[in-house]
Amino acid sequence: MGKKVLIVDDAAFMRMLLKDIVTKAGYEVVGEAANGAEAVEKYKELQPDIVTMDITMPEMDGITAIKKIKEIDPDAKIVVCSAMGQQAMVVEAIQAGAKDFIVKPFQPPRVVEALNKLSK
Amino acid sequence: MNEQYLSVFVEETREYLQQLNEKMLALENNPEDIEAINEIFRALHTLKGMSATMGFENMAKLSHKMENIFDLFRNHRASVDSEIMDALFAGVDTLERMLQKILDEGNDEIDSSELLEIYETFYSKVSGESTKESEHVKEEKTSAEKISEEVLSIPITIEESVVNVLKEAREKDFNAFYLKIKLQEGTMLKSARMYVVFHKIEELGGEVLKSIPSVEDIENEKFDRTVELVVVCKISKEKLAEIIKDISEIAEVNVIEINPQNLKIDISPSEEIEPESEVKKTSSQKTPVSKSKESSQPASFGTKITQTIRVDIDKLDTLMNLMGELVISRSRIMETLKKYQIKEIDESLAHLSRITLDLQNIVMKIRMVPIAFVFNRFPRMVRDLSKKLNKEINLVITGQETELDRTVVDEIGDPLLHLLRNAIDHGIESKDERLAKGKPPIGTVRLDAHHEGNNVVIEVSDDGRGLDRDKILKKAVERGLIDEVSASSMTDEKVFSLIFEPGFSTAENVSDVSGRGVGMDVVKSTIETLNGSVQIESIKDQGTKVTIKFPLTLAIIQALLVTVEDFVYAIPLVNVEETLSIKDDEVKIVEKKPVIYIRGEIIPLINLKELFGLPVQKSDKNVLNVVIVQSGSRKYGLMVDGLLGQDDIVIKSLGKMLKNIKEFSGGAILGDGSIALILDVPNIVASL
Amino acid sequence: MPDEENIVLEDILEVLDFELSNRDFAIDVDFVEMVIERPDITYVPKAPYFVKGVMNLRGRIVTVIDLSALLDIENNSDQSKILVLKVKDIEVGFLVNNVKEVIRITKESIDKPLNSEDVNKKTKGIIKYKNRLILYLDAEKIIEI
Repeated sequence: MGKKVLIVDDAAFMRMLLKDIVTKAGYEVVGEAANGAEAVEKYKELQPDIVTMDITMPEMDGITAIKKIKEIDPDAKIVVCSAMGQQAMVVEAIQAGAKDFIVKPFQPPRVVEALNKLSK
Repeated sequence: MNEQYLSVFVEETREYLQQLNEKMLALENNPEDIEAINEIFRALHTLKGMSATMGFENMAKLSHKMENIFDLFRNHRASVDSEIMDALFAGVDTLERMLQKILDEGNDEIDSSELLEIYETFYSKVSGESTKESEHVKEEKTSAEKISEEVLSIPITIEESVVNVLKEAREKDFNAFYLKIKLQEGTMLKSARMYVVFHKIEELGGEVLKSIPSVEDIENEKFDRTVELVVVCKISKEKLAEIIKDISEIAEVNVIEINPQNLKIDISPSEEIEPESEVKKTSSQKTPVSKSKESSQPASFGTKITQTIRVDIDKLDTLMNLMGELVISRSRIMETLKKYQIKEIDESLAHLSRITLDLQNIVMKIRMVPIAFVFNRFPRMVRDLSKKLNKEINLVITGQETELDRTVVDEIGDPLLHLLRNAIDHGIESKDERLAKGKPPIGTVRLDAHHEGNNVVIEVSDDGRGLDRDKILKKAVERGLIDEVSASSMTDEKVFSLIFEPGFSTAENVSDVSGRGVGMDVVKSTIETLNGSVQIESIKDQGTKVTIKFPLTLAIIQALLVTVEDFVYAIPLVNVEETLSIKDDEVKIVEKKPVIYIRGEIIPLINLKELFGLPVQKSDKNVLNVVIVQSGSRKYGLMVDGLLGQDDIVIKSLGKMLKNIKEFSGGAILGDGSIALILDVPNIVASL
Repeated sequence: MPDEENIVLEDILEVLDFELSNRDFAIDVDFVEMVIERPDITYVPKAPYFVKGVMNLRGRIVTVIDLSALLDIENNSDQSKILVLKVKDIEVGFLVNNVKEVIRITKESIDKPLNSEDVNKKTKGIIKYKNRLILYLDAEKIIEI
């Protein structure tokens, strides 16, 4: 049974893309969220093994969401999805507790590498 | 030999030789100039490839030898001194002679004894000894006393201060390691990736004592793919290597244990240590040491595929100027052809227009930078401010990747800062007040940027108490900005825009946060100077939103061309409300000043001749041309002699000597080559 | 004349000799970019009194200085040439009557300028050259005004 993944991104297109990559790599996408607040709720509800978290989102941004999720579950494994040029944001996300990051446009092998490393 | 190739080869080689000379001079002046070393290296590398392709073996060989020297410089394995530079300059001269020989006789054969001499100098200079049979760089002892000979297998110099820390750490059962970490090729956000490494080490209870390049350079992505660290932590060498290797995008990790007591180095057999070790240059070492068994193969270095290039800002400005010329020429051709109405040419003309437009767009895009440059500084400011005011604030920043003209990015920081401060200081209520209103105790302030058609929109909004219409009106009446009669009939939008009037402040208590009434008017005028506009919306107890709009670029704007006396002036179209032709008897005098009434509004007239200090004669014409301009909420009528119509103009600076003239924001070159000064409407209005 | 052999290279200056209102002036040749025929000059309202206006120099907008106004000398004849200088990256045009030649002078041939303080601010001194007295302008100071 593949590990459970929660995908968080405000763009439906990005979620679809990620879901595709993640599923093909043998993981199970248990849920999707379109903003940080939703992500926190879904995390509580679904207890996923891994979360992919976009940074810039409406309602609640990714970094805030990482902090909230970490409050709920200090062991949460979160991969940040970042656009190029968001170096500072990524650093902030790592500080907040993200374990790894992947950079858009996504390269499937990198995404899979990140997931594999986290699911060890 | 193909003649065509040869001419290109000669031409390009000349350029490279020129570049070599320039950069080597720069390097001699500043031996630490890594950029210059890299550029020289690349030039030599290209030269080597070009000459080898053309079959000029001598030239290729000499380039190769020289390239090797610069590779040593790059890796800090040899230092730049005047002797080696002399030899290298001689090398460039020889390359030049070879090129001349190629031109004259079609071959690059020159006296081989001369070449040998150059080569000998190279080796002797770099190895610090006289000629060696091999090219191998000879090992030499370092004069840095604090490090014993064995330490040389740590490929970096460790300062005494670090050594002391290492010793202390050792006493507390920490292990000390030297790490060489190499990122995978194509790693994006390298700084962030290295941050993950640092973060991981800290998570393990370790500490990074030294890094090459420096942490600062790493933060600024000033490194290639390799970083060397000195680290203390409590875990074993194997464990550390494993954990670091497990971080994404790490291609290689080498760990060497450092024994700080005697600084003996235990080289791990399990980890691959690259044969050559590097010694960072210190001032006491003349010729750094190398243990390399083989001089490196530079070919594998020189060909790095890059997707971005650095462009000198001057070149960008030149490009923008040329683009401007093109736009001007196009206008001129259009203008001329309009007279003749030749059908056949219409299509190609339309094509030209399209191409110019595309080009214009691309050039503008090059000038764009993400607004993150400005936005990034706000979270810290908001945090400090919310602490100071004892208000909990959630700052939500979105769209920081939105790009806009660098001029705007440079200027927009302060106005945004002011708006954010206002939102937090005046907009967001105190916690108790919020709870009493049934609002969440944490106030939200949003900062968003996005594109909207040809504009960039920046919004600053809060969920605070909103603007108080009555309070604003009361104050505006007090200040004489409006009269009581018109007050009651004003729309909310108009009322709210009153706060942008000079000297207006709605704060009951002037605090040191938002300042004393300086602010909103300055915000507005700054934005308008950048050809932007600002609007404010507010709903009581729900919040306030300030919307700022900028055109995508500032360099090319639409303007209305007018004449005053014999000269043409340009008024940016963003400032122009409408143009009117009025009869002179429509001009009324109110408080000794000329005004006109338009649709019930009183609009003061400004005679540009008077403003410009030109002699004003009573004109015998009884029709006046007036351009109604708006700045802030105020409207003025500018009296001009003639209206020429609108055109795309390219804003150019009037130069340093005239920068103090506040009436003009610049000049534009018109289709006929003449210059039109561009009126700075917000500044003119502000000075009235 | 100083002994030829004693002249060190640094002591020799090259200056451009030009004419304005029948007087002789000189300026360091290093600053001179080109000499052009006077183009149309656009009047700039509110500019300092010595600014004649701006001109279009190959797509760049360049300030034109009315030297006779700046130096407070009568302006009696047709100033048909513009001396384009580049000083500290600032391009500027000087309206002049005529440009003569580049002359080589020694530092010794420069006398400290007149008693007028105002003129002193804009000049480096007076050059004695072949029985002529040439006012040696300080371009760097002039563009700072």
